[in-house]
Amino acid sequence: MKKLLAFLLVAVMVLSLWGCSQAGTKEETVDLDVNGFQVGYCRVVINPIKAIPLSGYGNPQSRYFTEVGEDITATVVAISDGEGSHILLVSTDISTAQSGFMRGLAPAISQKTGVPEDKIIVAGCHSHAAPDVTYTDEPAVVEYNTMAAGKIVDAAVAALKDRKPAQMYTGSVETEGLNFVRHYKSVTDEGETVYFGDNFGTAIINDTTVHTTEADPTMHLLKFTREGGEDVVIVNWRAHPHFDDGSARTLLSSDYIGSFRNAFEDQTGVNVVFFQGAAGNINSSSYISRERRTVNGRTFGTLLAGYAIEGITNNMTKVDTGRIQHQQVEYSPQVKKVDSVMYSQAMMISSLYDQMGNTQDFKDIMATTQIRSRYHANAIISNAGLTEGNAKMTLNAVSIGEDFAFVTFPGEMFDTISVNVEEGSPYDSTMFIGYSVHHVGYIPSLIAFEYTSYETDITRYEAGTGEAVGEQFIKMLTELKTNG
Amino acid sequence: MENEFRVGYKRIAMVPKASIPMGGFGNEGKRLHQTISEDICVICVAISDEDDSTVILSTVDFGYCDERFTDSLRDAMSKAAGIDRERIFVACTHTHSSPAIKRDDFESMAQYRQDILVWGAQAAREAMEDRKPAQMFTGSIETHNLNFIKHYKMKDTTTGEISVVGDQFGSPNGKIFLDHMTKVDPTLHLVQFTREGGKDVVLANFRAHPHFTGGMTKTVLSADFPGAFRRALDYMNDCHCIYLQGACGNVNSSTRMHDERRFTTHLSHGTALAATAIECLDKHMTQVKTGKVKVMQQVFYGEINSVDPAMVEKAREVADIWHETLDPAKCREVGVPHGIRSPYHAEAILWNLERTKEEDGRMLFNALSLGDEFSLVTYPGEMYDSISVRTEENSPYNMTMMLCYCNHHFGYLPSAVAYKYTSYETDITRFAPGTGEQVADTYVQMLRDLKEK
Repeated sequence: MKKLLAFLLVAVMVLSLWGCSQAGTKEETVDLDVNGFQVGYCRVVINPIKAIPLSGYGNPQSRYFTEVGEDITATVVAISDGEGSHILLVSTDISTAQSGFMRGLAPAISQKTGVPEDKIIVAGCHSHAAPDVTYTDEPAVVEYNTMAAGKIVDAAVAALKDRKPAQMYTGSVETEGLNFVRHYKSVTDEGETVYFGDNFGTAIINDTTVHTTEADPTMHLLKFTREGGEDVVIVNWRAHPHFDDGSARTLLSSDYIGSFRNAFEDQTGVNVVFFQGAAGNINSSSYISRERRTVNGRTFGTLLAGYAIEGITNNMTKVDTGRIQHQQVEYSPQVKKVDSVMYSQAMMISSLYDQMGNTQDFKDIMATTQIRSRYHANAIISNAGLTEGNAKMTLNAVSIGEDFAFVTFPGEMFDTISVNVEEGSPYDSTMFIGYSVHHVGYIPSLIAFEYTSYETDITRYEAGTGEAVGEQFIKMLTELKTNG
Repeated sequence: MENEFRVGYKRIAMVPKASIPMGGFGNEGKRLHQTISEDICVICVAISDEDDSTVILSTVDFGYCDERFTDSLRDAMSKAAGIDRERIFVACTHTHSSPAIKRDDFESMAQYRQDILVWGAQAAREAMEDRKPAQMFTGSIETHNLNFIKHYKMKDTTTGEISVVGDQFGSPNGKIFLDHMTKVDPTLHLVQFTREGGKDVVLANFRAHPHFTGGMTKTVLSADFPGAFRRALDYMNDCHCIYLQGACGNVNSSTRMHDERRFTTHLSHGTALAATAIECLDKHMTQVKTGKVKVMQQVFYGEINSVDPAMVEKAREVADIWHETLDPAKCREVGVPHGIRSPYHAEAILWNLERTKEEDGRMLFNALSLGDEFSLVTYPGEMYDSISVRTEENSPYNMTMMLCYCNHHFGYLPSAVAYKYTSYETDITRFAPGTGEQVADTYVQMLRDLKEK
């Protein structure tokens, strides 16, 4: 309830402050109706001016940004089918759609443009060096949120006004050695199989070390060629953007995604928008040094742009445009049951951490319990209040014509679920957009529950939820296709 | 700081004012350019030491360039920059979507050649004016599947016979790929000058044929991947870059082997190469002491390939068919029974016949050192990569760059091992087996002399 109230407060603040900033000016109107299939585009830079906290690594207020790496931006793609349906895709360089700020954007854009709120998809790119927009008790954050919201709403209006008749192309390209499943298993000298990940456990790297599963390296591409305007390319790929971050660093950055956009656009002259996919268990570098190609965001983004350029040059197929169809479902998954003993232990560990910090004594005490980390403890406490009713997920499925569709998920999905959806989809090309609309945290795949990990520790849902969500998406897509 | 260099940079796009004849793929001037996909540029980097000893490293986005025109360009640069011609090195990036510079029988090309001299002079003058105090860093990085030896060891599935085929001739049909003939050197060498009051200047030395945008029937003028590389690196790294083509006589930027292919366009390849360069610039550079700018020249006489008189008449016949029909199959039909494997082979036999009358194999080599740790040598043609590796490995300097297609063009310089099988390059080279290795040893001696100078 407390979170809901906080969200409402921020949403009202964003709407009212944005409204204030427009006071005294004539309200712009957007004529939504267009002839035929049309696409518009607009990007705005939303770098903060004053120092505000950075998101990522669970303790945002511990670091305030001191310099800007890659610009923080928001990009809006407006798609209209000429038959009265519209979709606004809003990609931001904010980490997730968890905050009131992010969830307040769709209502604000809807109010300004007339596009129904549920047709406005706001997504985060999951940069771990993004502005933290949740700390609204800080005036600088409120000021930033108001400025950024105003710019994003204006960008939505501009994208709608920028719409031009468009043709549509779909394609994909396989990247190589750029994304990795961040869970590993090794056989020790004693013959024991151990699991570890980037976020949990102790790494044991030897010749036997492998990833628990293989990452899907596919980059999905959607290209619009526009009459009288620059082409627009939507890129959907999956990997945590965590080059420019670190719990001790104070660089504000859109990470490799900003570098990717810069390199791609400079080389091709084509506008590009990046939507983060199912990167819940996918990193952009690997613990296994023999696999690593780079540890640098600019290198990574530039190399990724090389693949995207290859894809849009050689691998695109023209597809018929057609009606935009949309289905939204409020999905109620099964939440994790919280054991009373573990709950008591979690309360104790959480309290001890506050007193002792991450000291050896603290770790020794924790080792006597079933709690594996302070994150684990906090998740147990947080999950205790969950019910199917208050842990709902907003799932969207959208199709454009007969060949292309995308789904949106409000959190960090493991990639195998995304692959299931893409393979089970009745559409030739299906994108999976994560970190959008709101945020429910990690959704591990079933196989990930066979060992313990940071993500399975802190997820709020039972094992099998990911696969169930995947089935739900396929059902929605199938219905869209059947109805179409 | 003592002993610092002064480094200046200038790049100028050389946009033709009219449609000009195109080169590449052996049909110089048989097609006129219609569009430009990647700007053809002239770039000059001026480097001076504290005694004002200066060199200009210059590249032009041409396939190759003969001595006559290169000397005209170097003279124009020399006059504009106020330094001796011998201290100006003009190298081609070897794009196969190049202007056919030698075809000055076309009016548009005659005019374009005059324009190039003006642009070149301007670039040299402005690079000199742009000189700023600079620190020097060197570094190298291994690229990943961005260059390949373009000769393949193949096995005939029915006879079991093992043969070698290349990108330019022969067919892999009915054969399975065993391996590349030799292993390519994937190293990208970089020199970075950080300048007071100016953008960094980066020298990048890599080896791979730029042939993405080219083709016998294509009419796109383009700097190919070196141009895309320069743009991506300049933009992403906020620097000025010059691409120095290395020993790519037998090295392509893509391969016939599908599972090895990563990038098939000049943009994606250039961007990926730039990503690798950024990685190197961020992680693998070491500051080196600056010092004197020293240059050395040496004349080298390469042994000219002998021509079998019995093949000359048939070569003339095949060459005539080629000029009339541009049909390689018809040429092979007539030539192969007489040992003439392709129209290029036929033309090479005739060229080499003339060369043995007119040429004595004389080539002019240059060696340049910047301080005690970095050096560069220039070769006037298409060298095989193992010759470059032999030079680099035996050089007394920590880093040695091989700059090919520089100041003149003497065609292919294959390695000794390449003569053990037939190939397009060994068919048309003017040099006898073993010349390449002699060239490498000559460079190494020059560098030793330069170091002791």
